[in-house]
Amino acid sequence: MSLLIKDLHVSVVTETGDKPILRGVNLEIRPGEVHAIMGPNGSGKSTLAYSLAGHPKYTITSGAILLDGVDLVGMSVDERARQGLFLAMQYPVEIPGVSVANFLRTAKHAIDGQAPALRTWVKQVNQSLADMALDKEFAARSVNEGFSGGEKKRHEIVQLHLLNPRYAILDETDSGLDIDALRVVSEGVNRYAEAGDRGLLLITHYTRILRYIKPDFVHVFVDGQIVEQGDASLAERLEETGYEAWLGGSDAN
Amino acid sequence: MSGIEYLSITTVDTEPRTLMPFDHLSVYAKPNSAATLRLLYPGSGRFNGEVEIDLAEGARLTIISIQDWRPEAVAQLRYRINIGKDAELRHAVITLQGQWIQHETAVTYTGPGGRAELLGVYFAGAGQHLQHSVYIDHNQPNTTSLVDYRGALQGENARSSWVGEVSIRPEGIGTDTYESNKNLILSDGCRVDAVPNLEIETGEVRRAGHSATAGRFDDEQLFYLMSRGISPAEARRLVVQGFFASILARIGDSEDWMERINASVVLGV
Ligand SMILES: Nc1ncnc2c1ncn2[C@@H]1O[C@H](COP(=O)(O)OP(=O)(O)OP(=O)(O)O)[C@@H](O)[C@H]1O
Ligand SMILES: [Mg+2]
Repeated sequence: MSLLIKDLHVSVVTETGDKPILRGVNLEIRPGEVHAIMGPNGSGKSTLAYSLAGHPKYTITSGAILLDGVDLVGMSVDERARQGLFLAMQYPVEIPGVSVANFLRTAKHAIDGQAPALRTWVKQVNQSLADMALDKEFAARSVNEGFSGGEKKRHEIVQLHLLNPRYAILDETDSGLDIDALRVVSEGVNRYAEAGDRGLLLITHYTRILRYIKPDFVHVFVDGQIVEQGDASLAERLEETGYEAWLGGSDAN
Repeated sequence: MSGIEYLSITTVDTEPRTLMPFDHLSVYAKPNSAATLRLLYPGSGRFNGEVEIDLAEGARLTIISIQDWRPEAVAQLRYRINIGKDAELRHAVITLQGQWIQHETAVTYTGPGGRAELLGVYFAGAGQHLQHSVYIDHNQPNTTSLVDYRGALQGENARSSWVGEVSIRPEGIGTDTYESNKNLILSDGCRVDAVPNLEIETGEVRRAGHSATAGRFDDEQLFYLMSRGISPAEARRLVVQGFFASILARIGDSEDWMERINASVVLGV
């Protein structure tokens, strides 16, 4: 059982042709583990996240993604989600006219394969919103429309809670959060991970979130590859040294 | 002022016919009255109709014109509306299908302070040409017009033409007007023409603006919904529903026309 990424090569589809971004990513996330990925801007972290989720803009040119042994590569975006994969996005998308309540119910129904029990569901939604310090009125608002940057991120964690996937990727969920929101979101993520059998991949630029959410592994991501792995102390070292040491070496390919 | 009356008229019979009927209807809204009138246009064949509406001082009238034609129908429909002093009109057009449909709404004001809200919802399927035009003549002081038409197109040669002509006369000081036409293109082979036009003959307006857009389905929205396990068909339905949601809420009709629009969309997915 794991989310296994094997020698993943990915190109992004652009107007001028395909542009290779990921150059052989290897990573295994087992249930109960927390992994953090840190790396410079443009190194391909979001590309990795989107490729796992199946975004059509990215083409997997070689490699494999196995979720508990099931190959995700040929699957559509929604099938991957129903297999138990969740992506909290760096830039959550606005969907005018679709209420959060309707969206959450539709997603829950799709993931579980059956409609959520009416009586408990509304309570759960309200509880999850409250946990993320979002007012009840958010349920009636359009998905992400007019949400502040921080509210969008907290709404992603509301979904994480309600959909309760086996594996979750959080792409810079901590960016743009104020100090209180960071704590609220971190506690939310920890509550999700608390079950002990969930796999978590945190993409982040800052060690501050790692003070709340303790990673078992830290990976340094440079130029489409993982160039170094270590435990939580690696993040602290990065804070001091930056990515200098690896950036020079990446010219080799 | 009396209570709100609700009147529903089916103007043509539902059987296909080949002749060209001409239908003329006059509506007079008494001073300070309030009413909702729903006009239903079903059936097939050729149809040519005109509706004349007079709102007296302080009247509040909602007109809902529902064009639920058969796909082969050809129809031409004109609404001529006079809005009295401080009267309020809400006019909503829902055009679900038809081979060639021309729907025209012309508004003038017979006293100051009148207000017109003109709403439109349409769905053009393959080979259907839906034409909507709106003419507003701000010929009195302090009048308001808000125009919001939204349509979805799907299928080969689905076509929408939209014209919005707003004139602000020298007498139309203090006019507040905004017209908008938004189109959601759901497949290849559709065509959208939108011509918003604004003619201003006075310097003292409160607001005068217009916009027209035609956009394809947003793939990022689709991706976001699908990444939560929602199937592509369901995701499309949600986005289309969302596109029409605010305008349908403003029309506020009790009938489930949204369901019909959804059904049309799902058919084509
Ligand atoms: N549509 C595109 N066309 C051209 N280049 C693209 C496109 N999409 C992504 N890229 C490039 O791919 C590279 C990786 O982008 P990605 O968003 O994965 O980086 P990231 O590591 O998440 O960065 P950040 O830390 O800023 O979020 C970047 O150089 C980016 O410019
Ligand atoms: Mg990124």
